[in-house]
Amino acid sequence: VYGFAMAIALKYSRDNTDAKDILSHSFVKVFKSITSFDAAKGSFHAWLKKIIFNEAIDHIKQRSRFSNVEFEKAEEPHIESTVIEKMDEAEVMALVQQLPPATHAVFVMYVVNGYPHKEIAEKLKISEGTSKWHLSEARKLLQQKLINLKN
Amino acid sequence: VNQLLPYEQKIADKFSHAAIPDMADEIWANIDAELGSDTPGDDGGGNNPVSSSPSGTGLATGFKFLIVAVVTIAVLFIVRKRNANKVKKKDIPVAPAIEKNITKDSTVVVDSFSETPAKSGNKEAKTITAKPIVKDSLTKQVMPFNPSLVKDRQDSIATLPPVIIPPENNPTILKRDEQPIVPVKKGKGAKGIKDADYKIIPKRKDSL
Repeated sequence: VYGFAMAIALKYSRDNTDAKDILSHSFVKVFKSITSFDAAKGSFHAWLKKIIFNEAIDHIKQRSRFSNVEFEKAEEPHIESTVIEKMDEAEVMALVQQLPPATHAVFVMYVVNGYPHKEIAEKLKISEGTSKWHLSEARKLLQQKLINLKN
Repeated sequence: VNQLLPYEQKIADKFSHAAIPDMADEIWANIDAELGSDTPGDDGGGNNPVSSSPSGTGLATGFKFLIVAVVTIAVLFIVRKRNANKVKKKDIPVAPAIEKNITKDSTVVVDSFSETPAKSGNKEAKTITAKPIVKDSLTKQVMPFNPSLVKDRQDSIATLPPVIIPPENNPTILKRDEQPIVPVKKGKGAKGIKDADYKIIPKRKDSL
């Protein structure tokens, strides 16, 4: 259970301390509302995942400022996948965690968890355009960081 | 499904295989502190020992003890108060009625307003209504009845000045309800100012 929960928390965290806070609050919620869990509605893991995800979103909202910016179509930066392939998991995570909090949250939700912009906008209470802008910003920043690493 | 770029797919793969840091103990300590009570560990592993006496039971015991203590104190207070009332009642002397309870051997002790009963044969003495206190134990110590003493005392009673009651139709004496009530009026406003003084006369304008 710990590994499963920690993997979810780590995706939305800026560092290990952040993940620890998300998990602590999530498990407190689990203990307090364990009586409301209904096995007929779904598995315990699905229920736990939902609680951790909601806690992570609350965490992101607290630490992030989502300014209302509208996305304008721009040229997508080119990043070679071989560069990422050569890096280990910890390095990739550290690279993504260097993104600004709001941009990091949108990038993880879109790329790692596969949420569409509409759903990201609903969960983070931002517009779809803002979500798209943050994704585009993440791509640009990652390209710059990778170029810096290469050099 | 989102269309991911090739490098983004690589990032997603790396994320899913990321190493999990061992922070179970720290997280469990946080949970423990936040819940404010000890909870049993799960499979993922809190290693903190489970307290043998849950704090909830201790709290309930303490509360019960407090209730018992309060009830005990209340009962003791009530019992003590009742005892105090009984002692006070015992201290007050009760004068028994003697007309029927007097025996031949009893002697009557007369206080300042008491008098012997009809036993003395004096008709005037019968009219005195004060009740005497009879104490059998003092039979030998009390002096025998002396009618001359009674006569002297009656004389002193007879010499009291008569009460003078004023006649009802006396005009100089007013009954409490008949006394006239004169309302006291308060003066209105400042003294020396009449209604005419309040008239406002517009001044001539200097300007314009």
